[in-house]
Amino acid sequence: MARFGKKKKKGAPAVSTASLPDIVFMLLFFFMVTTVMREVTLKVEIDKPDATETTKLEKKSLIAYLYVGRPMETGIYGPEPRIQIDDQILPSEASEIEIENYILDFRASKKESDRKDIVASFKVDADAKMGIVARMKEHLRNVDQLRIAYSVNQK
Amino acid sequence: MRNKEIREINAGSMADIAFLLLIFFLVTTTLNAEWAIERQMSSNEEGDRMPIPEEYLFEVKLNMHDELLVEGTVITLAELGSLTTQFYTNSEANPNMPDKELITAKLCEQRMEEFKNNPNQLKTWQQCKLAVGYFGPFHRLPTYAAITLSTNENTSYEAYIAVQDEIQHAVIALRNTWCIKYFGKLFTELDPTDASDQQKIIAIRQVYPQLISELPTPEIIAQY
Repeated sequence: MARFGKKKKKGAPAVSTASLPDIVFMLLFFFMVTTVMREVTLKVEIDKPDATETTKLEKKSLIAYLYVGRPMETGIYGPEPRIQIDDQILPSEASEIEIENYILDFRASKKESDRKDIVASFKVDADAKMGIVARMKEHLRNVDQLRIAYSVNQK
Repeated sequence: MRNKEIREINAGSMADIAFLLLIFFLVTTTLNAEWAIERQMSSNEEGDRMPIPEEYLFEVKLNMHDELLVEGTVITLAELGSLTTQFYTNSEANPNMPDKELITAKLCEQRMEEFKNNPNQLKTWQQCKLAVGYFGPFHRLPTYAAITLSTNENTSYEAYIAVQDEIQHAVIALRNTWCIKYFGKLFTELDPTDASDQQKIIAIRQVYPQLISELPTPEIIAQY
């Protein structure tokens, strides 16, 4: 008589989990496509000041960021606080008018109905001087960007 | 001897790796909680600006050493809060502080008629009427009163933000007291997403409006 090999007592067949990672990856790609994660490489050092009476800015996609701080590469840009918009440090005081173009471009890239909700957010180092900020505000006024926000750390 | 059973690769741990990636990604996209002090600047062209009588202007000046000068006296940050409250309420009937207007429903309607072509003013007076609906006639500073913040070229940003924060703190405290008196809870506890709370927020903002005027340049760069 043929010897029956020891048959392992099998229970119900195991559920195949091979497709589970596929489902999870689909979810992952969905999130990667729908959320906006703006990665602007910061070229200036910013240590924001603290404040208590703050609000949370909604609609992150409608925030135009203006960075002011000490450049990380002081060899090229010097030790004084400088303005950075997008990925560029503005080369001189005379080029601060670029802020106006940046805001106009930003505005043009948004839907008509969203434009009034655009906020210009100042991410400024605590040690920076008001002279730069005052000039930036003046440029914003020139292009009618009246909604501004001072970015701070919530105390 | 070849084992006839083909062993399945256990794909369960791949799911774990995928979950880890997903959770990491979900967490990193919410890390930038943006806290900010929001302000509305006044535009360059607002018709003819009539000179504002001095007592309706609360002048706060910061010099290059981050020292505070308010209404001609050097003060500390802590005193700024109480002086701001004085400006809004003038509880001590100080003649240097402004007189307040009595806002009634009739006045609101009058002004709404006057300003029907000026959307900003119209909105302000509509909201005032709403406030009168909640609180009855009340006293408040006239709409042209303002808190002006002047800084020197070399004032530090930190000091400027601290002043903004302190003034806002005083305004919120006033709004809280008012809100407790009429609605039984703190102004900060009102929920902006709830429709009826939203109306209350608008009404209280008319009683104690945010008066910080973000000045255009010529008045800022003063050397002192």
